[in-house]
Amino acid sequence: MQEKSTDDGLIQAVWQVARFEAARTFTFGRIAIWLALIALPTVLIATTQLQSRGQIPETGLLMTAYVLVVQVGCMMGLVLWATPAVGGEVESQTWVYIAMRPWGRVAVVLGKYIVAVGWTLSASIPSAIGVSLLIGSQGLVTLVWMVALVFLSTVAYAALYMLIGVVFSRRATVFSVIYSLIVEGAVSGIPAAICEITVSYRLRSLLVEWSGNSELQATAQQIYGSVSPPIHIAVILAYSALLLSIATVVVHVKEYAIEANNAV
Amino acid sequence: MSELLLDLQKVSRFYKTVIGVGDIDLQLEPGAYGLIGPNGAGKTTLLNLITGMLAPSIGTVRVLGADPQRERAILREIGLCPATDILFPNVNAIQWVQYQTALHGFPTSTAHSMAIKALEIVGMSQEMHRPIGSYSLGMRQRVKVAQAIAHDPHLLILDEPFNGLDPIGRYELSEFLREWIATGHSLVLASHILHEVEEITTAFLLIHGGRILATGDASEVNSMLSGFPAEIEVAGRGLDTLVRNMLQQPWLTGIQFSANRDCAKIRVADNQEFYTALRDAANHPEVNLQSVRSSDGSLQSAFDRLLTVHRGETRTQL
Repeated sequence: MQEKSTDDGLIQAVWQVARFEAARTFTFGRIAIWLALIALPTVLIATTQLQSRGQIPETGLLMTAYVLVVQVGCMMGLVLWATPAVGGEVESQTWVYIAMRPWGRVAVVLGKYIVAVGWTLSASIPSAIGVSLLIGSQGLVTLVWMVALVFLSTVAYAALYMLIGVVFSRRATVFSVIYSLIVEGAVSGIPAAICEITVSYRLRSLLVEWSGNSELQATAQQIYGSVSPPIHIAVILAYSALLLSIATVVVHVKEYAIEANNAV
Repeated sequence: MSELLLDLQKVSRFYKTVIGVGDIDLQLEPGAYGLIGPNGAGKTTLLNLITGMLAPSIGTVRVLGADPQRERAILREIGLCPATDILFPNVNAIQWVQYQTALHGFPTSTAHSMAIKALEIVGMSQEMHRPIGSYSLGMRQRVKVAQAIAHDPHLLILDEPFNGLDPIGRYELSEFLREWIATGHSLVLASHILHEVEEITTAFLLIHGGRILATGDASEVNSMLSGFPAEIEVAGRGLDTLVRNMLQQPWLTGIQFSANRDCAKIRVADNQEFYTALRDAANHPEVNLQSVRSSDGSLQSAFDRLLTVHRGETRTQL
């Protein structure tokens, strides 16, 4: 029976986790959530516009679309997928099988990260297309920057939630929501240097730059000053890589699900 | 493999103030071993240390020459069938075993054929395309064994593998494990049911209270117990005379005769003293012994006596 395993064990293992987890996305519940994430922002903006008979200013629509698609939509998808990456395995008692594979621990983090990003993008991009068609006159331009923001948001928050899930494998979802509300919500709005540690600040700055909305630009300039978009993008990508690296180190050394009362 | 199968040096593992295992020194050559102890004895903690799931609080663990926590490549040589159940209701057996095999670094097609072979070995070929959620406990147990052997490890570790298996399943698993050993593979089989382990291997590690009480085969374990309390059953004629000569001995703690007095169960505090006295008493012309044996010569008896000694109960009661 002896066969040789390949030397590129980690790549193989990551690919296998991503493949396995992607196949598991096709359940009724998960497809329903996926459809809801696609439809909700478009439906909400369309309903609002209909009720206000087109009287809502473009700035308000832009901010609403941004919050619904780039922040809430991406975050919700990732809280569902990235946060329970390890906790889910521990709860379903499958962690022991993963941890018994040479690259299993790291592969679970990286493989599930890929699936979380892919799944969330597959919901958020159609959602971005929908809202882009509804707001403003520059539909295609809006779509391009909205998709870019969705991509950066997904990549960064997936890494952030993955790290939270790896560190706090129990109640990871609660910790993620609390972190999102306090840090990404409240702290990102503080007009001081501390807001620069948040992804929200970077994404909002990019929104201001790329949307070309003069009202937003004037307000942002007053509060946050001016940083060029390439710096924001570089910081977001570096931040994501750093968080994901820390997550892989933590998962490699941390002991999960072994408690005195059930392990002795 | 020239390295020791297991090499544990002064290993202790604490869970805050609770001792999972304490001060274990263990060197085992490749082979098959039964890890036996009651629930809560420390079997799972010991297995978790061996598989690198846990780091020892004190001491070092090496499996086939490698530290399983730091040198994780050694995990390719280990197959683990844990006691916990599989909870993947929507995935079928072939998908899951293939996935677990591929995680060892095998390409998908190779992992697929290895998974099919392993499922065939455990008798799950017919059912492998059904979702795991529809399986009985015994079938899930077989699937767990399949994922443990699919990558052809050198060492197979099973934690309570007979749980949930019906008699046929138990027999088939026992047969498979005997074949596994016969082909030169190593095995560590943890169980709290002694006779299941005795059917598969003759080498035992007795664990209780987080400590290894004894290692060796049944006779070695029994010989370790010489000088300790025992219950011995003697049969023959002239047993009254035999016993009369022993009545004043301080090590005699109890006697129970059968109705026709041709058989007696003698409880002693020191079995070596008893056997010495028995040799002299048996020379008496009225005594004709037909058999002398431990009233329960099984490993269970030895294990019970070890526990008695471990707890500090040096004298048995009638």
